[in-house]
Amino acid sequence: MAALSLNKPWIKWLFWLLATLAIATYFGLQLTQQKEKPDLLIGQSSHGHHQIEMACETCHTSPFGGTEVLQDACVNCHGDELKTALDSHPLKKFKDPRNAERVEILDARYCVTCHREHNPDITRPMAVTLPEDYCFECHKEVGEERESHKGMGFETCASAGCHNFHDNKALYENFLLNHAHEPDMTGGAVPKRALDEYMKSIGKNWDTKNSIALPQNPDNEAIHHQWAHSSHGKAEVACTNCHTAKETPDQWIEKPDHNQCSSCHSNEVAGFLNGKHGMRLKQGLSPMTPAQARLPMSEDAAHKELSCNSCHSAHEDDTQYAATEACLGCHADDHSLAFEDSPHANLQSNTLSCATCHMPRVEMTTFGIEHIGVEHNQNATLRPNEKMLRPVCMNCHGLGFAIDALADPTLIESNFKGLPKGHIKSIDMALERDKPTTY
Amino acid sequence: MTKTSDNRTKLTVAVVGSGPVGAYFVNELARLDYPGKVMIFGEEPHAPYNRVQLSSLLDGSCPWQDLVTRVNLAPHWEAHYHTRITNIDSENQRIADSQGNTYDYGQLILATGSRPHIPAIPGSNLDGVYAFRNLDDAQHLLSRQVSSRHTVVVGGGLLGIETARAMAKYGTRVTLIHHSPILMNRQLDETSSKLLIADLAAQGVDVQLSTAVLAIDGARKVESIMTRDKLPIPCDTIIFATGIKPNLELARDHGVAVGQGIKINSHLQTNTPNVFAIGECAEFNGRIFGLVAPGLEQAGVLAKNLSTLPEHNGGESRAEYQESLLSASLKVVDTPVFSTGEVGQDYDYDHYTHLIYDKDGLYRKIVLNRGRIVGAIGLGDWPEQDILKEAIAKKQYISPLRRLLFRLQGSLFSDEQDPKRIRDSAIVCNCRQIPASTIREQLRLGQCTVEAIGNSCGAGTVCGSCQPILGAFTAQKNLTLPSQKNLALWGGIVALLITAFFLLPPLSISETYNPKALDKWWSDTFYRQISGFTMLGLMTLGLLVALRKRLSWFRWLKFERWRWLHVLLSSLCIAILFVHTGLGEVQGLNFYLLMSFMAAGIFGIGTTLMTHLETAKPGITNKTFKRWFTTAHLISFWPFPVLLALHVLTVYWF
Repeated sequence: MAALSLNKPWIKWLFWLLATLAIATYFGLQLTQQKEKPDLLIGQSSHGHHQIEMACETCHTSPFGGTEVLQDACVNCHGDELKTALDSHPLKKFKDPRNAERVEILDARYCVTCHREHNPDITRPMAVTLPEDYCFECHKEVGEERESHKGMGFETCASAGCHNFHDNKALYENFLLNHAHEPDMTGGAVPKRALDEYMKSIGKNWDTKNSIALPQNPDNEAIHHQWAHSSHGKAEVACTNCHTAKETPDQWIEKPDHNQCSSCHSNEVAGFLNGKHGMRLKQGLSPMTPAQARLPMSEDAAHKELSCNSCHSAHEDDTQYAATEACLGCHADDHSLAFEDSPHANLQSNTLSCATCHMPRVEMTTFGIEHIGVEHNQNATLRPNEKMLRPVCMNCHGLGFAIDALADPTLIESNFKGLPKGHIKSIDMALERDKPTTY
Repeated sequence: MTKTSDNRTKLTVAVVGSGPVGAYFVNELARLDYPGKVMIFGEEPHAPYNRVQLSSLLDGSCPWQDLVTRVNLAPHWEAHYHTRITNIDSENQRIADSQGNTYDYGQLILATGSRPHIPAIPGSNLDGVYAFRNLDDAQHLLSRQVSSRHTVVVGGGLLGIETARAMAKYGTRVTLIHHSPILMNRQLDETSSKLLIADLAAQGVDVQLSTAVLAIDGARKVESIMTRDKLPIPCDTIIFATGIKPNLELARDHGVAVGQGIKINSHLQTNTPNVFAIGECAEFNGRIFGLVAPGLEQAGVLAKNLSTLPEHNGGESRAEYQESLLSASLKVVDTPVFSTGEVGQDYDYDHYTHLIYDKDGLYRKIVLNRGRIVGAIGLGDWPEQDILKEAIAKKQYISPLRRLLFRLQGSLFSDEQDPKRIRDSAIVCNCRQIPASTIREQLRLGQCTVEAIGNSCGAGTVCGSCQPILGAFTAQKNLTLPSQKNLALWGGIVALLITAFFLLPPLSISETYNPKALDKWWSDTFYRQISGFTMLGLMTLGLLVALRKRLSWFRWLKFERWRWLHVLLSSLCIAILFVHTGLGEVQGLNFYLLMSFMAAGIFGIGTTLMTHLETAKPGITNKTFKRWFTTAHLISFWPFPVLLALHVLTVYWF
């Protein structure tokens, strides 16, 4: 007790003051100086942001910013996506004074109205923090406008194959009608990357005889050999192209990172940095490791750090490895584990991989040249999964079949082994409404 | 015989034995104005003396005069010392002495005591072998004390230790041999035994444990003693303190039932009508007591029974002798040793627990059986001895708070209101932090009422709960306090509230769109600002109680009102916290903030309970505990202001 009953009252107050200052300093430094602020995180972040939740300033870009600052942060990363999604609820709709009443009900001018972070208890799929039937308030008369929608619950609007708040590219009525009568298999194929044409366009050819002289150092012979037979070697991308930076040509870079790759593969690296594999690097955090992931991962891979080289080994370029085996080196969820045994993996042509769906081949522009390239943001087509219909599924499948398949969670889990159990009536409903009215 | 003379004989009490118990019994009868005749017979050639003090005589701390026991005899009562009773004729109710004189008795009390038990080992009859029982022994030993070069005392009980210590007085080498690995093994435990041995060693007594005496060597006089360790110890004097043997021959030879001692029931009756036995010669419940206290207790019970009932031979309302609490105090060594009740190795460890206080050279141990105190050992001063003995006799329940106090402070009953028992440093007034020394100072300065003390130093002027203690200082008896039971009950409600806060699942969030739903209170930031600032306001208001307590000019409203306000507003804050947090997961800074608040709440509940206890049972113990709770309440709240400021800052920052 002697220590507690300090005789002079001012000593106690001094102690209290010092303790208070110490606590204030501790949190104050964290608030203003540290990049990561573990003690100030108020709750678990959603799937999309948990990797970068410690880098508060990614979203909270300036103190006391409020909603506007947060909005800028959302748009900063997701703006392009929203644009390409031909958003059915674009911002301008809600800025229109005629819609002021609706804004009163649901202020859709701001992302955080529906997507509030750090609220794990109320976070629903797509990181929506509103009740599932949030469409109700504006669309309660839908049943009167569309006979087919009468009696449907508002919590079913966003079921697979019907509606999304943002991206409905594959769900518009006209689109449904245009693809209404497609067979399950359309006989189409995955687009070719057409590297040949690309190389021709930059004045290179596949002739490996024109390769660079053999190295002086026999230790590097194996590396040289690998390189010479890789696309880099064939395209005469020399050692120094990757191992030195433009700005410092005399400085050898032992381990080139994504910034080096980016000098040629800007689209790929940008995709990588936007997706879950590279988003920590983009924020200047340590690389992502499977240990930090929320999806099931292989224990052996727990501490591997993700970079371009995780899938594309440094000198020996094997895109087939990168497209499946590399993924399965870490991912150990049911869907991934079921891939090898799935119909997609066992086609006669043996051309489908994880990347076919998750890093699809899309049109892109590199050095001003339009070409087919690989979207390295694995999330671009993932959620909601209707985003996958147009760039991926419909390469080979009819729309109706694909919608049904994507709406069946057990089918997804088994990696599409079998046929869809249920049927989504969206196309049927579109057809019904399109029938000429007979009097 | 006429009826009158028959009646007179019936009232005649014959006491055989003039030791402490016999003498005490006669004195008790005298005190109770026993109507009949009393005869006391003593075998020793001396007038009765206090045998218990013989070791003090031996070590010189007590002169002979102080040992003499005065026996109060009524005019017609008789004392026969140096008279050995050899015959009991229980049929005719008559006893006879060795001279052939006979005495008629109505009631015969056997207080024949015991004699030392000397083991039958070779050489035990040699010159230089002593026991220590009576005055003659003491005289012998007094002379040996000077001449002996090396004395061996056999038996490490109370008597053995006292004897060894006394014999070492003039620098004689003394070795104490004890069979058990623990000295005074019926009274002490290992730790206290070790401390005692160290103490004895400092006084020149070498203690050898776990060994036994096999033989004594010597031609005519003692020359050496052989122990089980096979090492002869050269010595010239051997004193046996190896226990007692009840003197039961007189009883046994004349038809009174005996076992180890003379068998008695709870009315001290033997199997023979009108024959009683008390003291060391008696066996009760298969047990004989080798200490004086049970004998005195028995004598007291018997004297009371004989005096209060004219019939003497039975009746329902007789006092009963219950088995005595054995208690021993060792005073001849420098460290006082105290042991009472069930201690040592005897107790059954399955149902007993013990608590030890071992600080500042004091060793105190209490033995508990299902929370009730049954024994205690103390080395060093333990002023609570008398209360302890009473508590152990009653097997008093020791509350967890008292146990905690014992562990921390070594005292169990320091909360008595007796001002003499209150330490100078004990805080009497918690609110103003005023120790007992200041109160005593005020008394010396002539402030002799509670009010006057309050006016001069402020004690008892805030919450007033220490007024009964102050009243004890000023001898004002009728200071009672209004009960604070309701406050403690409210504390209980808050405890339930806090428990619910931590145990209940998160409050539900509406699954469907419903603007009227209550969930906005815990999901919408605007509503959470309302609840947050409401709590801030309520808490600030409640904190004014601290000012009422500390600022002497702030006297508006009684302190009690403020305390209730504080408790009620804080409880309201806890209730609001339910909706403010939605009972969801809290982490980081917010978690620390919540913990600070809840810890303050939990200690606050403890404070309400102690507030009730300190008014219901005013005392220093409860004051001490209340102060601890209040301190904990304050300390847990200390980081709160800065954490709350940071919480508000970060909410708007991000």
